[in-house]
Amino acid sequence: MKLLIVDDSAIIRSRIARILNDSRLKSIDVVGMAQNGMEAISLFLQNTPDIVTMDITMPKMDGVDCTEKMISLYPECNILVISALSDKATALKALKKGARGFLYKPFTDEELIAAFLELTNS
Amino acid sequence: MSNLNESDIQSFIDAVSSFFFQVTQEKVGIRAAYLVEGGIPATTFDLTSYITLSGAFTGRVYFSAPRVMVAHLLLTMQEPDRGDERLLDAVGEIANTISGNARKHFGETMQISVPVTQATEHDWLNSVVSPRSYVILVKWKQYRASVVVDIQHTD
Amino acid sequence: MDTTSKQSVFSRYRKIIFAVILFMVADSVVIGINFYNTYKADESAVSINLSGRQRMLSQRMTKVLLLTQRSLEANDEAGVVRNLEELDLTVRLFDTTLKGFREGDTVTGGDGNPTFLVQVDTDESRQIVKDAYAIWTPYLELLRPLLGNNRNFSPHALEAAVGYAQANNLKVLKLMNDLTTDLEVVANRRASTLRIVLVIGIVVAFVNFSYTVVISIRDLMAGDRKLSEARQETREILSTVHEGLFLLNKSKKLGTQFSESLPILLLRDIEPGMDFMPILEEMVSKDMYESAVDYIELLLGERVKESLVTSLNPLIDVPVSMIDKFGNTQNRFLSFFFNRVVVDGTVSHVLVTVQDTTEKVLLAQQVEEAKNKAKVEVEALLRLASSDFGSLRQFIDNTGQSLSQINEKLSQSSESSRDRLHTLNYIMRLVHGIKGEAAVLGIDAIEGYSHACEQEMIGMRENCSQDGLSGEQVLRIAVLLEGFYERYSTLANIVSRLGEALGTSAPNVPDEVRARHTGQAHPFVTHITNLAQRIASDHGKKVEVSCEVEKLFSLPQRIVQELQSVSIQLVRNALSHGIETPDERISRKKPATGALCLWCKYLGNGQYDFTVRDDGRGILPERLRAHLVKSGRLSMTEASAMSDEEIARLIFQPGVSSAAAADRDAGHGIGLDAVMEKVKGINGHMQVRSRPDTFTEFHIQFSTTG
Repeated sequence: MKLLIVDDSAIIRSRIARILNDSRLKSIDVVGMAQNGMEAISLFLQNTPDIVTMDITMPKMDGVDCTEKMISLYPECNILVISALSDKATALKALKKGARGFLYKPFTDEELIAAFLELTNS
Repeated sequence: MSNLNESDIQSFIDAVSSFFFQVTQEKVGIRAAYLVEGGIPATTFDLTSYITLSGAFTGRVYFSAPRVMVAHLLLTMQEPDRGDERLLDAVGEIANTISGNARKHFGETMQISVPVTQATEHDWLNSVVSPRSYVILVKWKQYRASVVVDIQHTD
Repeated sequence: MDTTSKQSVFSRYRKIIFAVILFMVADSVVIGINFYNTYKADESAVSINLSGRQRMLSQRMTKVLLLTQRSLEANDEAGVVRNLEELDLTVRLFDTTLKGFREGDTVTGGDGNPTFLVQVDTDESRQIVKDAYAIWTPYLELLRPLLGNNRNFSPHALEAAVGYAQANNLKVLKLMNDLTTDLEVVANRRASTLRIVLVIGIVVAFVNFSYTVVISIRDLMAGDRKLSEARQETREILSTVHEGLFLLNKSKKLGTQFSESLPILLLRDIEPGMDFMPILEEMVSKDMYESAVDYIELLLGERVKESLVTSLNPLIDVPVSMIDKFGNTQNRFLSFFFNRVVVDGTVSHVLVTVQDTTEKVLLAQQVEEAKNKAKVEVEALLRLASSDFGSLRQFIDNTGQSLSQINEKLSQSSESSRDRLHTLNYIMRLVHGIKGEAAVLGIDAIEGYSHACEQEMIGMRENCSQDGLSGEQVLRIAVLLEGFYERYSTLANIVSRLGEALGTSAPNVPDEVRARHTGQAHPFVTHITNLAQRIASDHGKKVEVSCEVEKLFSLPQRIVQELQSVSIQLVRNALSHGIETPDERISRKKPATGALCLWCKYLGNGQYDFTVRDDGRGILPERLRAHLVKSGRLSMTEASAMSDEEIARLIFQPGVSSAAAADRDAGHGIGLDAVMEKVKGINGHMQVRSRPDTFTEFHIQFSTTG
């Protein structure tokens, strides 16, 4: 499985990669990291990932538009929205555009792993 | 510590509003709400009625209105006799409504006295129990009346 | 699930299937026995019939012999021939039949057709046949010369035969009679066996049938009972649970069953099949409602993972206001939980659980309240321990005064909505002032409460309708004020009690005097420095504070107080809007640590200048302009028509802020209008100077003579 990490925070990006690396989820490979929506779309087109972790508030193109675009390109893609809980309404919008699930920041290692397991067992 | 929240206070105001609305089809609006430490004359009008609460909360809720307002109310109700006694009855009836609403709002754990009515001549707020009482000024037609909530949580 | 249901079907019908098989087996046995017996009865009928014929034949034989003799005596030749013929037939028929009785053989039946005669099978019959043969064998020998239509028989032979016949006729008759009787007895016995078998068969069939019926009825009744028990249990569950339970189908309509608590929780009548969304829409705010629609639709759809979206449920502890049947507004907190109901791998319904969480929420609030109260006390003690007692007393005096001012404003019954908005702004400024001072002293409980009040009032200001504040909002402000008073009196109480105990209650020796004597920094300087450092660290910024404010301390206390409270706001602004983060500063080729300077200069003629300066990004008119347009304060044309200076001056207007996000230090747009108010209070005036990316200076000029 190919994973694309989209987040404007470098700390969050490396954290997600690190958690995956430390876990037993060896079937997931990080194929790209993007710090804004535009970059995410171009990496998405290059790699056609199976899973995308998606931040909501990002420069250039936000997570909602980015989700919509990705789903229109590849409807089977599993998008996990990762955002602050204070922004429930926007997160719901991204889910309406076709994301599969939501994880709120700050998250623990276990929560992220559990979310990935849930996403990959369909 | 009074520990009253606005829904508690609102229940008293609602009682007054619904009384006026039933009788006159006119709404009563809150004009001001503030706190008093001890009784101050501005909060009292000619006619006053109050109920005494005991139980989870202790204290009194007063309704006070100017004579002319109550007379106008009786007029609206087409009550021919507008003597002092009738005026006090009307004010007492409003206190009764407050009492009924309080019973609903606070449940059966509260004991609520029958209303006491009086023409306000002396300083009737001498018996304050809480450090600060709420004064809510309400308006009906061009008149002002007050609801004073002097209640404290029983420790 | 399928296999278990199949198993249960089999076990449910096993008894009936068994009963049916038993019925069929028993029936075929009875039919078999019946068939066999009927066959036997046919045989018996033949035997009885033929044994009766033997009786008749024995008599006829004797009669024909006698008639033959008489015909011979009368020389009736034709009669002799005719009788011989008959004798021959009779004898042969008798002989073959008797043989048939003995051995079983095909004989000429009563109707002249060949028929099979079975061997006799009882001991009595066999004896009878044997006895018959004992007579018949010599008889047949005597008859033999007369048989075969032999006209030339000797009269002696006839005589011998007639003699034997006469001697034995009755014996033969009796034997044949006995045989008939015996065969009839056998047949009767067989018939009665048949009856018994039939009766047994019927009894077995009846028992079996009854068993089947009983079993079926019992099973049916058990099924019905289980079903009604299940129904009863469902009913009991639905009538007992405190939660509101119901199912929502794909079109978001209620199912046919719901718990009895539901109408009570929602304070309205609920009918099966009702549309859920309008019910919800009445209860919650528009934003909440829209989020709820999204959330429910996501769960009803198949795409999202349920476990990965539950944290987004917007309907947890939601404040709802409902009108009860008495027309009163009821404010409560409700939680709605949604769970998918999956049938055959697809979502068929969503199970909704409604809970009244009012008590829980209020309890949490009370706990918070109690915590805050305790916090106030502890903080006061800590303040005392840090011997900053004078400031604390000062704070208590100031706060008390502000609270009275707020209350006084509230007591002025305001008729117009403009007045009420004005009141709100006035109160917000005072609250903001309290917040600032509490922050300087580090009394978090009061700072936090002020902040919460401020937030709520900002909400009121933003959301209030054209008519201004509602009566309920005015009431709410009074309740907030009461909360203030509570915290305030706790603090005041403790300060006065502990102050007395410590013997420092004499406020006449101000801290600043002590400071001058002891060479410590003036509390004003310490406060401002601490506040600046705290805000800087909250924002991940670095700052160095320098103060040259000694001139201040000879000024009247009232002015110093006002300037202190002004500085607090200006320092907040400087750190949240002005000074950049270390990274940003480095990228702009500035030192990573920002500089914040406060000074007070004497200008002569009783005139003073008090300045707060930071070396941050300055006031950016373009940014401010964009912000003002975005927040709807100015139209695009208005904004572009104004000069940069005019725009910059707007920062002193209520509700204007240039911070992108509001936190507790800045960004609410309550700061500079409060500052302006205070400056006016000391008859001063205020100027702002700024250069983008370089500095911002606030100058306050005032006079001690005026």
